[in-house]
Amino acid sequence: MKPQTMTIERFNQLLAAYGAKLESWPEQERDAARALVASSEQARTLLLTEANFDGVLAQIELPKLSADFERRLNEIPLRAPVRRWPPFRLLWPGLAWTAAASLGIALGTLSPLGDVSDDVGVDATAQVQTTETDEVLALAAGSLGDLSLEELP
Amino acid sequence: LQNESEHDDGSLILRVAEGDVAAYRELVRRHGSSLYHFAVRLTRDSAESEDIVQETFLRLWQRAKDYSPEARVTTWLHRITHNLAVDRLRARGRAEPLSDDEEVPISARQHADLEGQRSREALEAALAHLPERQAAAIALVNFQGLSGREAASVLGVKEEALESLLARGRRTLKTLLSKSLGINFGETG
Repeated sequence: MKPQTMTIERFNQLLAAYGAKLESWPEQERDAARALVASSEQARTLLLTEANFDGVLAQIELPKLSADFERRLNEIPLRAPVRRWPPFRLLWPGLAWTAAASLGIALGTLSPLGDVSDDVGVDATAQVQTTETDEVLALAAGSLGDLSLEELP
Repeated sequence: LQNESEHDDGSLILRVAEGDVAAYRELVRRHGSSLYHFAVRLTRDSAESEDIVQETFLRLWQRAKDYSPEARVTTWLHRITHNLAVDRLRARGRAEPLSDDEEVPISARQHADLEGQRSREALEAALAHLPERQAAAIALVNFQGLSGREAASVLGVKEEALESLLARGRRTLKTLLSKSLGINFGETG
């Protein structure tokens, strides 16, 4: 593949924007810029002139954070706790149990079979109660039949 | 973990998303000074810059899960800091920085500010006179070490627009510094 070439005008534009450090230039244009520097006296002169200005810019120093400010930054997690969901894979067993239980309750509540069995239960109980009452009354009547009215208190 | 510094930013932020305080503190150690410096460049106010950086790290702690690995962590953090700083500048009424197309006039007072100051102080003074977007572009590329593409992403502009912001910013700085330091930095662009 033929290497890209760069005009001195484009070289100057990039120099004016990014400065003399070719590593800061757009990646796709760096090789062409290096080739131009290697072959052009004018490009080398421009690069050196811009490097003087970069030297002035390089005097800017990163401020160190004060110990107090750094402590405040480090304490953010303690002052602002975040409720985080556990990873989804850990939620699966719980979700499966909840879903199964909900489904069971829903089926039990909504199914018409549930109503029928309840009715049957009530009727059966009522019938049993009725039968037992009748028997008790009959036994009582039989016992009373052996007694004369005078013997009653 | 044995040594947090062995881990790259991407894996640290994934752990922050799961509530790992040690990973969070390692990111503070790596990026705190740099973000503070960037905020100072934009606001020129140290107290306000501390607030902005605190808010940036609060968002990192609370919203690490929103991080998308398409961008480097440093680009993501710079974008948050930049947006917070711009919001504050607007709220403060410094909303209308000089237009990016406007050349900075060098008033007699500014000239006096620069007079007598040498090198670094003169540079600080000159940087303070740049329009906000030009100052941000220069800070991101020249001081924060971001690539052109990353800086453009932080500012929400195309790379061509970033190139223009950088060139105009550097030209203004050269003009101001030439007068204050008496050095001819030449003409490019």
